[in-house]
Amino acid sequence: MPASRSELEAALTAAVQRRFGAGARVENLKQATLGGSNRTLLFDVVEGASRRRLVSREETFTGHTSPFLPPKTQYRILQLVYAAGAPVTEPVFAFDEQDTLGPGYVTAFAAGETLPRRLLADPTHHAAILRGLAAALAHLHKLDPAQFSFLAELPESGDAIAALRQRLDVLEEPHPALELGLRWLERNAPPQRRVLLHGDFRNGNVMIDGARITALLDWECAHLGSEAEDLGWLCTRSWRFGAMDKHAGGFGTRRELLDAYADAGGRNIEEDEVRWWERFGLARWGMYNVLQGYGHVHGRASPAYAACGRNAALMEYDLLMSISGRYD
Amino acid sequence: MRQYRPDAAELARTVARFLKSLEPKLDEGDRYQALVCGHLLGILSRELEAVALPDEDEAALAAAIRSGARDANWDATFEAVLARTIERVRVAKPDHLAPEHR
Repeated sequence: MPASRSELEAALTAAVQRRFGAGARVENLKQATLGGSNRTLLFDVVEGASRRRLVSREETFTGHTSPFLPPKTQYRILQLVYAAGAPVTEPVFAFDEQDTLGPGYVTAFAAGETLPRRLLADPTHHAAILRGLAAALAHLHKLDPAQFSFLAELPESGDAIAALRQRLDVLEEPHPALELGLRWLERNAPPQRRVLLHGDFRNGNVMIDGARITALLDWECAHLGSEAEDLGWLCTRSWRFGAMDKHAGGFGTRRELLDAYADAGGRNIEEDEVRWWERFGLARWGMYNVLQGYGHVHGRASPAYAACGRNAALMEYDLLMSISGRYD
Repeated sequence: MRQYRPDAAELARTVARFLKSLEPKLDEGDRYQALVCGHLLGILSRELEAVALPDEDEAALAAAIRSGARDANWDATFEAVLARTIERVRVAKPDHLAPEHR
C-alpha cells in the first residue's frame, strides 16, 4: 500500500487511467482524517473539460477477527442496490490485482453531512430526515433477497446471537455482562426473517444534505436478517448522541420511525421487536469495542482503539440497564 | 515503598492538563488524537485511585451464563455482574452512569 502522498497520487492516477484512458488526470486529492477501519480518499477525475468528484475506500483491517465484508462483496451489493434506485453513491470501479491500491473501490462523491452532532444541532429538518431514513430502509428491505444469496452463508445471516457469540469467542477476553445480555436475548427472541439489511444503519453512516438523504454509506456489515434489526440499530442507545428520548438516531421517537416506515410501505413492526434489536445492538456495539481493544494489543495500536477496549463497559452497562427495564 | 509527591494519579492528570493546553495549536486529526489521549489519562488516574475489583473467574462465569446454568438464580447473577460493570464504568467514564450509580 503506497504510503507517501506522491506515491498515493501516482497509484491513483494509474488506476484511473486504466479505466478512463491515458488522458485522465487526478486532481484535488484529499485524505479523510477520521477513517475507522478504512482509508478514504477524495479526488477529482479530470477528462478534457469534464471533472467529476470521486471517493476511494480501501480496507485496512483484515484477519480472522474481522467481522467486515471484503470490499469485493461490498462493491457487488452497491451495484445491485444502486441499480434498484436506493440512495447510494454510484459504484464507479473496484480496484483489482493490477492496481497498487486496494482492496477497495471507487464511488461517486455525495455531498452533505454525516457528523451526528452537527446533524442534531439544528432540528429544522429532523422530521423530514426521519421520514427519509424510514423510506430508505423500506426501499432496501423490499429488494428480492434472492439477489443477495451470496450473503446467505455469513454468520450474521443466520442466528444473530450465535453469530455474535462466535465473533466474541475469537477475542480472548471473557465478558459476563455481554453473556448475560445475550442469554436474556436468547430467552426472549423474536422470529427470524431474511431480507437484505444494511447492517450498520445509524446516525453517522448516512450522508444527509438539508432534509434529503443523499447516500447510505458503510456497507461492510450488510447481511440478511429481520427488518427490525436495521431499525433497532438506528435506535440503539449509543447512536442517540445524548438525545435519549429521541430513540431514532436523535431525529425522532421509535414510534415515529415505525409509523414512517409503515407509511413508506415497510412491514408493520411492534415497538417491542425493535427494542429487542436495540438491546442486541448494545451487545453488538460492546463486542465491536472489545474487538478494537483486541486490535490495540495485537498490532493495530492507536489511542482510539485503546479507549474502545475500556469503553466496552459502557455498552455493557446500558445493556444491563435496558434488559432490566430501567432504560428505554 | 512510598514514592514522593505527587502520586501516580496526579502525574497522569499533569500530563492530561498539558495535552489539553496543546489542543488549540493542533490540526483537526491531531486534536482528536489528543482528546482521546486525555481520556486515556483520565481512565488511568481514576484506575489508580479506584478500589481494585475482587478476583473472579470471569471466563467460568461467562460460560455458565451462556450455558443457562445461571438461569435459576438470574437476579443474583444480574446484580453481581451489574455491580462489577458499574465499577468498570466508574473508571472508564463515570458520568456515563445513571445518577443512582454515581
